[in-house]
Amino acid sequence: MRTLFTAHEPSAAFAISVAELNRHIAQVLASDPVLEDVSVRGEISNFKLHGSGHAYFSLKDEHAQIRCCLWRGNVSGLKFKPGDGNRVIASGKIEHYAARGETSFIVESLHFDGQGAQYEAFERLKAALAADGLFEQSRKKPLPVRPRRIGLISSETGAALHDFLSVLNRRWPLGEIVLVPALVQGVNAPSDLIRALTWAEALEEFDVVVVARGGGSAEDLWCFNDEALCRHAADFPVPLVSAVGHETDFTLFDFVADTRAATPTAAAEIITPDLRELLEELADIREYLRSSVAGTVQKAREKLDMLRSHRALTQPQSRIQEERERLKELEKRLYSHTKNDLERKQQALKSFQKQLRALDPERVLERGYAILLDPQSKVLSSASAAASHSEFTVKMHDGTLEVRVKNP
Amino acid sequence: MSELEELIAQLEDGQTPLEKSLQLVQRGRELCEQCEEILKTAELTLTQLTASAEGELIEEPLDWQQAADE
Repeated sequence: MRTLFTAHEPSAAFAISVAELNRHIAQVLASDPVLEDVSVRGEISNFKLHGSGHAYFSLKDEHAQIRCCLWRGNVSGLKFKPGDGNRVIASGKIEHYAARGETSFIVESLHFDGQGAQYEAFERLKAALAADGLFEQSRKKPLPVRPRRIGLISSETGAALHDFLSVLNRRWPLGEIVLVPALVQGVNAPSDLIRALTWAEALEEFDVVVVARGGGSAEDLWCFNDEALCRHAADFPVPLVSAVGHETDFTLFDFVADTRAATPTAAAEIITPDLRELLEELADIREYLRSSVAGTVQKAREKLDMLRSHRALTQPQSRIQEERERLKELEKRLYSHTKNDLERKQQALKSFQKQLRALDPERVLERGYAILLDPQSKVLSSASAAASHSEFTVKMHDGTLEVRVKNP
Repeated sequence: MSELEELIAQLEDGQTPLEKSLQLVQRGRELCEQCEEILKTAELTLTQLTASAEGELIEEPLDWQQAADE
């Protein structure tokens, strides 16, 4: 390395010590604003947690790697358990450790890089749980309508509990809430949550159990993607509500629970009826009962009134009168019919008699006509019929004459 | 509430004789009052589940106001 201050030819007079060199390197690195606070994306390898509490590992990508130190104070602040192969974003500063001539990345915080290996593990587990049918709708238990005993698995401190309780107090003060404290983030959260679920299961008295946790980053909620926890939750015997995180954060726990609420507040609303609505409903029922009884009585009264005002009751004689008149009318009709019939027949008879008289041949004889009969008393009505006879009987109106033809 | 719901259904089916429905209405009114009383006077209770040294589960009352304020 040549600068304006170094000689063209290496010279012992200008040579510096290794310590001086490293100190210089350290100073240069320390004065660089970029290296003072930098975030680096990479994959963890050779992760070692020392007895001292500090953690050492390398951060690498395909082309390079750098040694990293995570001091004890920062290890305890981690929201997940780092392991080899994790893709992370590490933030901190670059330091040069003069004694060993090593440049290290002093990591202050370590975040999961969601799209990394762990994300792939998440997807794999999700597919496995789905294949086992743990997300099936048919497995989901319906929520109780009016829950009395409500189990709440949550941190004793934190907004989740506060939000949940205030909503319940407003909506459903009939609830008996049993808090089952549990860790809701960090490496030990999955096993602690399983312990809390087991406790809730042992009590056997819950109408519904809610697992609540306020929102957080992906790694805050990562414990809810634990396989053992999810499998345990899927087999939980009581309706289970997952109220983990915010609208946008889904965990596998959300999928295995019977119902998913976006937030603890939403969970409290989903599992309970609203007291005010119930009171309104009761008022409606009262009104219905009032109008129902009034309506029934009113209807019965109207029917009674109608019956009471019926003619059969008000004027019992009118029916008799009516029948009497009807009888009279029938009598009249019968009489008039008979009378008409008689007259008609008498007339017909008269007319027959008249006709009969008109046709009577005797009456014709009275007017001077005579009837010619042959010896067998048969009427001869033509000259040709008479020609074959020589003797005849002539019938007049007052007697008969026997005649003979003189000159046949 | 459940009894009340059943009672209403019975009243609504229109098959109930007058005397019986009057009884139902009377019972309904009593139930309404009871429910309202329960709803209006109810207070949220909060207990915390802990385990004793022997592993026995214990429920301890917790002041929810205080818990909520924490």
